[in-house]
Amino acid sequence: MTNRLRMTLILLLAVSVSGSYLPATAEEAPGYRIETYIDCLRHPYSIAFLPDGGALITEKAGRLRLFANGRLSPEPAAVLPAVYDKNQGGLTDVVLHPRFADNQLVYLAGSTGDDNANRTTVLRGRLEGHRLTDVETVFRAQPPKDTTVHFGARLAFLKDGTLLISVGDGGQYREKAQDLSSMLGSIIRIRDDGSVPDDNPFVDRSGALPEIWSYGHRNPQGLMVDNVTGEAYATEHGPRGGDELNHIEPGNNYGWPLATYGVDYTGARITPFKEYPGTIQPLVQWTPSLAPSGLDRCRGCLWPEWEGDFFAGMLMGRQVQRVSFKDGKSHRESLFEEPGERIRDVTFGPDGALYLVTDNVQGRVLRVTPRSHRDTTR
Amino acid sequence: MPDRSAPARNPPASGRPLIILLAFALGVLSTYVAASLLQTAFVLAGLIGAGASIPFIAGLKTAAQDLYGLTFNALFIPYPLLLLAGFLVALPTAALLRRATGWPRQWLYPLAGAIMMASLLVLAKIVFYGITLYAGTRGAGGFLGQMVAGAIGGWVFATVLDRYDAKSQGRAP
Repeated sequence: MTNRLRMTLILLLAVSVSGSYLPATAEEAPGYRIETYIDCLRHPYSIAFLPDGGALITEKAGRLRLFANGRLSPEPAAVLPAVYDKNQGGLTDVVLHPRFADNQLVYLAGSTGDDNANRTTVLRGRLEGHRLTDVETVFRAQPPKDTTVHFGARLAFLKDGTLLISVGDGGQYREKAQDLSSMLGSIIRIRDDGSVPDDNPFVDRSGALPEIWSYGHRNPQGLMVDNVTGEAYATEHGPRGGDELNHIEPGNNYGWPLATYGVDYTGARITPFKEYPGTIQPLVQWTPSLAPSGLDRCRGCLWPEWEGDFFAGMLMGRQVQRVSFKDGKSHRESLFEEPGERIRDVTFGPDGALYLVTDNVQGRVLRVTPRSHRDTTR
Repeated sequence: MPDRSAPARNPPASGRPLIILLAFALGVLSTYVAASLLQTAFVLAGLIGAGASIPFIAGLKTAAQDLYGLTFNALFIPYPLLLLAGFLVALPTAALLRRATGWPRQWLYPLAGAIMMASLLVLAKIVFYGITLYAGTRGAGGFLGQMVAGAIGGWVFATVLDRYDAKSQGRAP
């Protein structure tokens, strides 16, 4: 046997051994398949599915990308130079108007401004063919801030057609989350044209901003509305520990910074309290932090056994957390750790598969299906 | 009135390096305790300003937890280590300045401590994405408070050395 033949056999054996090992490892997981759905994205942040089977993806630097007919359009659907892309700022979320089929309206969240005065901002435009046109600003958080962190900047439409917007506390201004004359650290509710609904909880309170729907938030980077119950949920970053999943209801105070399960990065206490009278406890809190970003709930998804469970992307945790509730207790499970990537967004697609947006400069969208699922969509 | 702390008056003593080390350690420690207590006080004041009601005992407990947490629970670098590094630069620099100018150590070392704290906090903010790392120093009052804590450490350092030198002088033949 020649050396070359021996080496070939050794290589073949190695490939065969590793090939049989990998599926065996995967079978120890609940039985899912993770595949790259879209790649060649530059720092993607969020994905929204179009009725025709395509998708829109935001890129942090201010580009909106279109995925149509199974490929990523080389030219962005929109380039938004007004976006303030620095540190945690940038173009973040994208959602479709509930009547998108009629009006083609697309809503985008992000940050605008400069180092001295920046803010969470919501833009909307009309998707005409492969281009977003008539882009206009429908919301700007008040007051502006001079930090490059904690924008929140997630969007979700309620069933009544009003829009929820998460706004972070700006990092430096944690106490503002308790101040109803400031939008920092709050969840905002506006109509689709930017006007304030008459039934917002603080409309009649003197000194309060009427756009505020809930307050006492730190940096909510996951926001969703359950398409069955119509209820809103949000995940937010804690400081060091104290990440939260909250059921968001109008007028509620979610406690930051009066109460938290986390401590400062320095090791100092943020507050003496983990619970504080008049504030809402989280449904789930993560200590140590996994850094949640992106949130969705299985409703008719490809995993019937996961019906009603929450799925939260984790940046630092490089996984998705499945959260279920049974007998008043929460149960958490770490999933989809195999790619080893920071997960920026989590959303169930119209096909019931779970789509994950990875938080990388060279980012991608992953599609997760049950291993037993017979794919008819591709 | 002659300057008792002037460099030329320092008596040569074999135990002096040890005393310098002791003075340094006491300086760092006193700055840390003062800085930690002030950090807690300003954070709690912020919460009270935001509407919280904080019982005195809860405040004391938080102060004790911060004294522990800033040392043993820091994500990046424990505060005392930062202070140690800062004083390792600030106090020798002040000593050189004192040797060159003859300025009294009783105000030169506190000044060095205060400037060290200000530099440290500004540097930490630059490194940490423009966010003030120590929440109690976000406002001018909290920032000045930390400078005062630095000055206290410098004063302790100067006082220990002063007393030792005075004592040594008294014993000198």
